[in-house]
Amino acid sequence: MTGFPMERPGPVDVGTGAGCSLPPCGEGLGWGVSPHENSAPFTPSPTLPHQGGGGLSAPRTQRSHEEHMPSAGSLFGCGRMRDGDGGPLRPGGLALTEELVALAGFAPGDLVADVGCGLGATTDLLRARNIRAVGVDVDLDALAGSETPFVAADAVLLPFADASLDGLIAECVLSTLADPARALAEWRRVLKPGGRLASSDVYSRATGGGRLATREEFCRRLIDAGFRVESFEDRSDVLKRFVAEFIFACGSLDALGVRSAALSRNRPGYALIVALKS
Amino acid sequence: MTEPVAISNLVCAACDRPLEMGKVEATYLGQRFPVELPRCPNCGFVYISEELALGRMLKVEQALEDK
Repeated sequence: MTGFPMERPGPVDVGTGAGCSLPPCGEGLGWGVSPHENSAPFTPSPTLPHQGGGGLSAPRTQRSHEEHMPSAGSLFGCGRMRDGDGGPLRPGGLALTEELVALAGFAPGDLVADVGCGLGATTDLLRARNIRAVGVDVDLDALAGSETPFVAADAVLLPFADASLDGLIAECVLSTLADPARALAEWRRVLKPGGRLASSDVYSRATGGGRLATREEFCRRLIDAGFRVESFEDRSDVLKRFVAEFIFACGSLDALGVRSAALSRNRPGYALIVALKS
Repeated sequence: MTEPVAISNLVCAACDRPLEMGKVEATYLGQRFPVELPRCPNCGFVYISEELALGRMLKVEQALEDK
């Protein structure tokens, strides 16, 4: 073949010809494309393969137990993978982290643990705001060589004294844990009275019955663990974008252990949650 | 499905310019996300292959479909 002539744009004709063109700023049958110059397309780093799923990566230390390993089938990325801009591979990226930090109201000088810190992007973001943040992850290699302060520990066995932290941030962590109630109890233990838990995570917008917790179940877990839910802000918009970007970059959601049928059944959503130790 | 066409064989019929891989912003159901696709460096038209349409784009539609 010496060339493939592109036709002037018409409606997007998905699957009826050898190919189709899209207008630079138009929309067809649901799809549209336009020039994009500002941010890199989503390209998970091939040099950081990590199939454990979830904010806490596969344990490599003797402290981690099988029952605490991240479960497969989580919808989000993991701490050791980056997107095309070098940010963390999770819905919303660092922009959503900034929203979560603002929602939590962490102040300069606060001592905050970033549980499931992965490569430490959120820890660094907090420290840039003069928040005394410490990363926590079970993966000893994730932050090797980094200047980010971190400790290697399991989310359910934190190396902090009782009531010692002003805040705890956990992005894409709770839903990956086999025993989220145990993690919440541990997180409550290390928080000062009134200390803030800031979490972003997937939840089910279906009526229940799936592996993902519904909003009600998510909040109930927090309340049962001794937290008062201050905010539960739905941000499912970022989840949709994440799914679309991931499929375009990787061909499917297989690398995350997710099947389309599971998506349909669970109707996953994404939320920013802030809870206070009551 | 037809064989995938190498980008080196793609030429914009309107501009007679070979297509180049470039960043474009795809939109679907109100979601915008950056992707790299063959595009004309002159007029900006984007080439969507059948493989892409029946593969990744269809999977995105299925994944984002609200039941």
